[in-house]
Amino acid sequence: MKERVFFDDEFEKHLKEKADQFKMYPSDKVWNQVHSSLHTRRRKFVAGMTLLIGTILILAGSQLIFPPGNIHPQTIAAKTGAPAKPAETADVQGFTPANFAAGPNENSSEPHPADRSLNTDAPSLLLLSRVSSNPQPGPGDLPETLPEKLLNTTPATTLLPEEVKITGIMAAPDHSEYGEPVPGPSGTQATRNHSDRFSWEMYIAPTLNTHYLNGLNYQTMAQSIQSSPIMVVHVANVNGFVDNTPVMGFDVGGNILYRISKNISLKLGLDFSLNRYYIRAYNSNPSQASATLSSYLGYIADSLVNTNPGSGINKNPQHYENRYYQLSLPVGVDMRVAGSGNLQLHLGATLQPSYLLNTDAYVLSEDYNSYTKDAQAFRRWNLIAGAEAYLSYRVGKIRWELGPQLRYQIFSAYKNSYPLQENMLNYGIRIGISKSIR
Amino acid sequence: MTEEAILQGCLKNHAAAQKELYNRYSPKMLAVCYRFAHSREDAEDMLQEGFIKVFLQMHTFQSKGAFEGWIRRIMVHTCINHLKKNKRFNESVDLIQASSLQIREENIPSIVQAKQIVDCIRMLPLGYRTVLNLYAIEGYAHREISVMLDIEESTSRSQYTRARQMLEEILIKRNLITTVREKTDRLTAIL
Repeated sequence: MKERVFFDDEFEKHLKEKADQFKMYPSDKVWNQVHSSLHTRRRKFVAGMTLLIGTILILAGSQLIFPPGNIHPQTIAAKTGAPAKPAETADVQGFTPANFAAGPNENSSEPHPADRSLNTDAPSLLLLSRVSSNPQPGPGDLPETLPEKLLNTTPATTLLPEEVKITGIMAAPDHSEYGEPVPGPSGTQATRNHSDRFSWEMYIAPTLNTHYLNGLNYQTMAQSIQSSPIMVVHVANVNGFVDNTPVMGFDVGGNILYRISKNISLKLGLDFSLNRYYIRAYNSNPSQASATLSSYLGYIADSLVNTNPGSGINKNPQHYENRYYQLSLPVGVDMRVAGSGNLQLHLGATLQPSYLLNTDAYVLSEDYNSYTKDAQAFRRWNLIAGAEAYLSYRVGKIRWELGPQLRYQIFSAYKNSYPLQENMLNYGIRIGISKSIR
Repeated sequence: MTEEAILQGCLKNHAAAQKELYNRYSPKMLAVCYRFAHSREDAEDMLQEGFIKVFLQMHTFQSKGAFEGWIRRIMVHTCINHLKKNKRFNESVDLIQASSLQIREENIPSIVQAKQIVDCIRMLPLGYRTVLNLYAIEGYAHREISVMLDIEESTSRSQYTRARQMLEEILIKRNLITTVREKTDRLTAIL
């Protein structure tokens, strides 16, 4: 812009002077919005993860607080006190709740042989077992009245003469209403439910690793770009200074899951991952390179000097590999969102405190001319956010799992004092197996 | 904190440095936006948009000129772009024809408060106000203004002439300035 360097007259001069003296103070929301616009990537990720985890937790909570009703067909078989009749002519009209409840007491003090052959269909398991294991039930053991429409006779061929089968729709029996939990004929249904809550899973996931850099100084880079050993010279893009080609890594681990509701499980596990990416630089004789540790505004606090492998005038770029071995402890939730049989769809989210096992990766020197290895630049403890979606298919007692997974390292791989921030992202296909613990 | 340290921090995308820069320049820049805007809310919108551009374009700043001037130019362009989205603005800038007016010689006394002047400027029609802001206060040439506002250079000149005349009338009505003739009359009366 070619600004006019003089003003036409005194009026304009004074007008400008007066206008420039004027100041106004913006409201706080302006800065808040500016700040949020400048730091959108991290905010979007945090918001996305919060939404995902929040949704899963809300769904999990709703499952716990408002469990789906356990209404299903029940078949009640009981021995009546009526005289034996041919099954084809069983007198249902003459059957009343009173004689239904009082039957065994009035007519037989011994368990009827027919008890041993009572129908043991699964749906009638609990109530049936109560009757069969308690040959002299008290009057209060059963509801005093049963709707007549619930009464029905079963096909005669399946009934013993003194047996009446009542089929209908009623709520599953509440153990508290009948006293102590009653074991089922084949063992203990309640005990089995309890043990079914635990399961284990193991998985392995080939992953593609990428990383994001923040905090590079554009001006310094522009000044040093001519002598830089780094291949990419796209100043406008920070991440253009390193080779961001995704590289294969892997992620392997296992979890113990505890089912807290029909569809929701909590999980805790152990995970080992290898993340890596390539650096392209010119090989040369070792020289001195320094990686400055500074405060956030660039005030020098410390400087690390090391021998670097990648500086010089060799025209052939070399590939160096940065590897990160991490051990993490996934804690999260797993939710079944579809399917109830062999094929199911699950979503999962975890937070994973992680520990960096190795620190022999390369870091960029302060003048962006060299790479150097320096253990002091790395953050040992970090936090990883993970999300996954997978299909599971049951084959025998094992469930096979397959689906995509995403892991993002929330804090920089480097310490705060290092002027760069590097966040790792890997995504892959998770292959796993799971099995209930009985 | 020095301006250099702030700039370095902003280049590293450090929020604290960005906040420091914002605190330092936002009062002046909001005043710039306010002269162009319909309302304070509009001015704050312009300021927000302008500062986001400032931080995102920071790496393009070359230390040849004053940093404040660089920010100010971004703000002015942001204001103009903001106004251009308003159909009424385009009409008001383009359609008003100027006639040749005599420029009177007035001065603005130093005791007049800056806020009074800005309030008077904001009383001008939008098209007049914009051209006057750009020419008289921001120092752009009519040719540059014609490019910025997509108007003829002659239109910019005539808009400015009318804007200035109207502003003078407002200032006189508010007793913020006196005309040369009035001064002469007073002197004559005294003498």
